[in-house]
Amino acid sequence: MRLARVPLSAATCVGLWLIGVCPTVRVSPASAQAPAEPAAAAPEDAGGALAARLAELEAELAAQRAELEQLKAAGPSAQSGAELAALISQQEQGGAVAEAIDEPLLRAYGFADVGIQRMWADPEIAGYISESDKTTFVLGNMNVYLDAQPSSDVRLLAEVRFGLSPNGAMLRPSGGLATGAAVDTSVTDPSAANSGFTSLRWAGVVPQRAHIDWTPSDAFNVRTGLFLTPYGIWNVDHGTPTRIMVSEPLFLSSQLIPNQLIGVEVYGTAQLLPWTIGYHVHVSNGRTLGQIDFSDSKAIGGRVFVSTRYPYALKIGISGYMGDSENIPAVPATRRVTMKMHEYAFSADLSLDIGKLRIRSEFVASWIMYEDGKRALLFGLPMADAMRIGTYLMLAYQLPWWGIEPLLMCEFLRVPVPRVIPIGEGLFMPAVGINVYFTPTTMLRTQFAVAHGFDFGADAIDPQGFGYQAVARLITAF
Amino acid sequence: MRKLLALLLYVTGCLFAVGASAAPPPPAAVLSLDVFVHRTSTVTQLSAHELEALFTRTQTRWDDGTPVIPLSFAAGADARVLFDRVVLRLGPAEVGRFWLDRRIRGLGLPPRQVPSATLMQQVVANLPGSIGYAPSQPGRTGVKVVARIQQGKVVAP
Repeated sequence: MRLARVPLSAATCVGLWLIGVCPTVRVSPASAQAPAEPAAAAPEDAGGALAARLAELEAELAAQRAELEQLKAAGPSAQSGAELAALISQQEQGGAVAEAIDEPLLRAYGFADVGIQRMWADPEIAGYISESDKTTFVLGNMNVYLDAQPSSDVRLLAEVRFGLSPNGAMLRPSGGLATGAAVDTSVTDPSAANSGFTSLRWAGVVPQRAHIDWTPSDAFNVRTGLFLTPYGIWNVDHGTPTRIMVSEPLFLSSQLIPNQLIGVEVYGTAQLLPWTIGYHVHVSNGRTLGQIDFSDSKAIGGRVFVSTRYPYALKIGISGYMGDSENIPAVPATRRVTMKMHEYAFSADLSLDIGKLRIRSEFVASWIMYEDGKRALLFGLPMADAMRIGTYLMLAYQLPWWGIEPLLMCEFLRVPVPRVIPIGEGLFMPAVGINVYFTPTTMLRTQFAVAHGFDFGADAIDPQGFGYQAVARLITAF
Repeated sequence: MRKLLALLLYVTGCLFAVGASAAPPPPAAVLSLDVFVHRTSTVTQLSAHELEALFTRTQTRWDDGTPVIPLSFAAGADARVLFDRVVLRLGPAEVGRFWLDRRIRGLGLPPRQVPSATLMQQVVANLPGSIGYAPSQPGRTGVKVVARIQQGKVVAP
C-alpha cells in the first residue's frame, strides 16, 4: 500500500505533539490512520469499493508472481545481466557526475576569533584612550560570508560581522575620540517564562560588504552595493585569518581612506603571463556620516596593480580616492550643512614573498580641506585642514618548525589633532609578534606593540607618555 | 618590572602554543599527471603559467568566453599534492592558506573537488569549459589532454 507524503507544517507538528502527549485523548486505530476523515463520516458503500479494489490488486499480484516464476525457471541470462550491470553502472556514474557538476545555490563560510589583551598607558595619555587598561578576554570577529552564484555571470557576496557591540562600546560621534559612559543595551526579555527576571543585552550585526557582481569576462566586471574600498593590502585582506598581524595598521583604523563604500565599481584583470595586470574604478557616495549621500557630487577612486607568482609572489599597486563629505543636522523646516570637507588620497602598496619571508608595506597620504565656516569640531575646537600620512613595513618569516612565524612591524601615523591632546601630531609604533599556524585554517596570532607620539610641527608640543599593548587572538576559518 | 613580566608571559604562551601545531605532510607518491579539457575545447596546449592562472582562478574565462571550471582532488590526495607543488608551487599547508586567503578576501572558492580519477575524466568529458587532471594513462576518451606533468615539470602532451 502506498501512502501519500504529507508535508509537516509547524502547526501539524504541534497538533501531533498535542495528540501524543494529551492523556485525555483516545485515538482509535481507524482515526489514527485517517485523522482527517472521522470513521463515522465514511459513506455506506465505501466498504464495497475497497473490497473490489483489493480483489484487483490480488489478481495483479498473482500475475506478477507467475511471471517471476517463469523467469526463474528460464535461468540467468548473461546478455541481459551484462546489460543490466552496464545500465546500473551508467546510472550510478551519471549520478556521480551530476553530483560533481552540481553547484550549490548558496555557500556559507567565514571566520571567527577570540582572544585576550592588555593595555598599559602612561598616566599622561591614559585618559584619552577608551580601551580597558586591564587584562580582558574579548570576542573579536564572527564573520559569516554568504556567497551565491545564481548564474555563471552573476554573483552575490555578503559578509556580516556578528559581535557584542554596541553593548559596552562608547559613543564616538563623527569618528572623533570616544567619550562618555559605555553603552548599556540591557533590556528585559519579554519572552522569558520567569516573570520578568531575565534581561538581555542585545547586540548588533555589522555588514562588511554586500554586493552584486556582473562578471561577463576577466577584463570587465561590474560590482554594485556595499564593497570594501579596493586599495592597498590590509583593507582587502580584511579578515584576521588573512592579515598577518593581529592589529590592523593605524591608518586603516583612522580611515585615511574610507574602508567601505556604497556605489558602483568596475574591475578586471588582463593576463600577461606570468604577470597579471588589474584595475578598479569606483564611483560612490564616498565618506558619509550615515549610509546616504547629502550631496550630488560623488566620490571617485581607482586602483591599478601588477602581480605575479613567479619567481616570487609579488604585488605592487597604487590607488587614489577623491570625494567630499558633509552633514545635515536635523533642523525642522530647513536643510543646512554645518560641516563640509573635500579630501584627496593616494596610496601605494608592496607585497612580496621570498620563500618563507613575507614582506608587506603600504603608504597612504590624504589631504582634508574644509569649507570656510563648515569645519568639523573636536572638543568644541574647529579642525584645521591637514595632510594625514600612514605607513608601515612588516616582515614575517615562517620558521621550519611547528608553523611558527615571528614577525616585526613598524608603523607611523600622522593625524594632526587639536593641541589639547598631548600626543603630538602623530604616532610611531613598533611591534613584534609570533604567529603559530596549527592548521591552514586555525592559528594563533600574538603581538606586543609600543606607541609614542611625535610632533615636528612649527608649533610643536612635547609628546607625553607611552602606550603598550599585548594582544593574542585564536582564529579559525570555516 | 610588570611590563617585563607581561612580555615573559607573552613569550611563554607562544612557546606553549607551538607544541600543538601540525607536522609537515609526507611527499606525494604519484609520478605523472595528464591535464585535460573537454573535447570540444579549442585549446590544444597549456603552459605552466597558463595552468597556474586557471587553477588559481586568476583567469576565469577561456578565450572564447566560456567560464573556466577547474576541477581538483581532495586535499591530501597524491595527485593533488603533486599538481599543487608543480603548478602552484605550494605545499599542502601553503595551498590551504592560499585558498583561505582568497576566500576571506572575497575572491572566490577553490576548484570543485572530484573524488576519483575515473570520475574526474567523466566529469570533464561531460562538462564544457571544465579542466581537470588525473594520473597519467594511455588512450583517454572523451577529453583532450593539453599538458602533462612529468618529473616535476609541465610538459606538452
